[in-house]
Amino acid sequence: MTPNECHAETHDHVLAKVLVGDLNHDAPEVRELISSCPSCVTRLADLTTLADLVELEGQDGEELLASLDYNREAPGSELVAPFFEQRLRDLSPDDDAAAVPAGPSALPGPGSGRRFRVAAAAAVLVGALGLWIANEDSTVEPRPEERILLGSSNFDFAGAVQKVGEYGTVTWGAGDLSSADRYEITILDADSNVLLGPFYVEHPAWTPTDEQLLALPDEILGVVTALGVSGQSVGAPGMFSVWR
Amino acid sequence: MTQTDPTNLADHSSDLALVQAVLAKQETAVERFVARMRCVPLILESKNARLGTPLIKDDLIDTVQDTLVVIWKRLDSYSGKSSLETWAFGFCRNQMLTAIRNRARRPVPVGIGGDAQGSLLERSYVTDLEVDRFEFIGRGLDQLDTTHEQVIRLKCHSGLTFAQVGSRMGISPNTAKTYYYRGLKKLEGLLRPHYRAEERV
Repeated sequence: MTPNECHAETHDHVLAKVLVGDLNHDAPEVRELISSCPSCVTRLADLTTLADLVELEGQDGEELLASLDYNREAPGSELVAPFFEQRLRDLSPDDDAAAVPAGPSALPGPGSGRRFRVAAAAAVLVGALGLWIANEDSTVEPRPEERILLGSSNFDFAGAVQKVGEYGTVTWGAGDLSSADRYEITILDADSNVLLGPFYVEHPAWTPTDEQLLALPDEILGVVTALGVSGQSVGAPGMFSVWR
Repeated sequence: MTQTDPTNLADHSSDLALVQAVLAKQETAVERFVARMRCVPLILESKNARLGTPLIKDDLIDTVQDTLVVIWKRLDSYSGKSSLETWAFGFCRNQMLTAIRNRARRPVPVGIGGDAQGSLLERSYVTDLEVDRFEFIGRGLDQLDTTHEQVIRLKCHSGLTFAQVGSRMGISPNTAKTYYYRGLKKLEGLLRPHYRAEERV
């Protein structure tokens, strides 16, 4: 058997059936695979270990949640009720219609100038890259500004617009990104000058290197576009704006 | 106080209804939601204790506030596929990690009155956290797209069969299996360095 055959589609099919429980290790096709393809043996072991670890991770979280004593106070317990009550008071009638939570008022939040620059940069980039507007449904009503900054449909960043202690790993997900093959990233400064990129990552995460941490200004904008196998964009780009 | 059983295999449509009622500013719903969100400081305190208290009280309070902010901003994305507490748990975990890393990055005090030993200890906690048994799994799952993540969580965390997973998500059992396998492969690619290390421990 050649190395290429080790990664034949049929092997992957057998591995999938084992992982989902449709075949056990005694099945003839599994035994044949194990005896003939060392790389698949390793892969099967890795994926089985991973599935076990995911299960244990869930149990760990459940144990912690089950152990919580709601009758006692923890540091910060006194913040919970005032925080949510204040946020709900801050919801204007317009916000009610959109059912979009307001941003934090107790923490340093993005000012109107920053929001304007981010929105302007987004508009410039979207126009320049010619990415997705032509395919958008023009009957869709405009969304609140913050939603647009997050990407109109596909991207979901954790804390897309926020102050951070230091730039760390940016991750994204949600929406229909399952067809994404890789992601194109461009990093800009607050005046929309391109600082880095475009560069490409395979997984939905980017972490600045130590050198980049030193070189980047104290406010950056990032534009992320999901690309399909043939290089076409998958939906709208997403944007994040962070400052330190 | 009533507490949701996070191991409950039923769907969490009542939690979703609660969140929708909160966003509609229904007063009784807000009270119930606030009571449920008291889990946030408790989770953070518990995780802090498990990790050897890398955060002092003031940092912990800041982290509670940061976590509440994130939860509020993401509240309209809650889909009811896990309990509110399990959903909040993920944000607590991520904010805790961020807080500890930020604390470790603060300048090291030097000279008379400096607390070099304390700073070194803080830095060691980051290492401890990074090898925390399951931290990387949770963060890896967070990086998957929603469908893969949900299928894996429902299968591995909630213990559902693929038929149940499919029913919950409105897809066929075979499609659920496909998402599960592809999701595991993606997760394996993200986490390979970590869980190989875990295996050696």
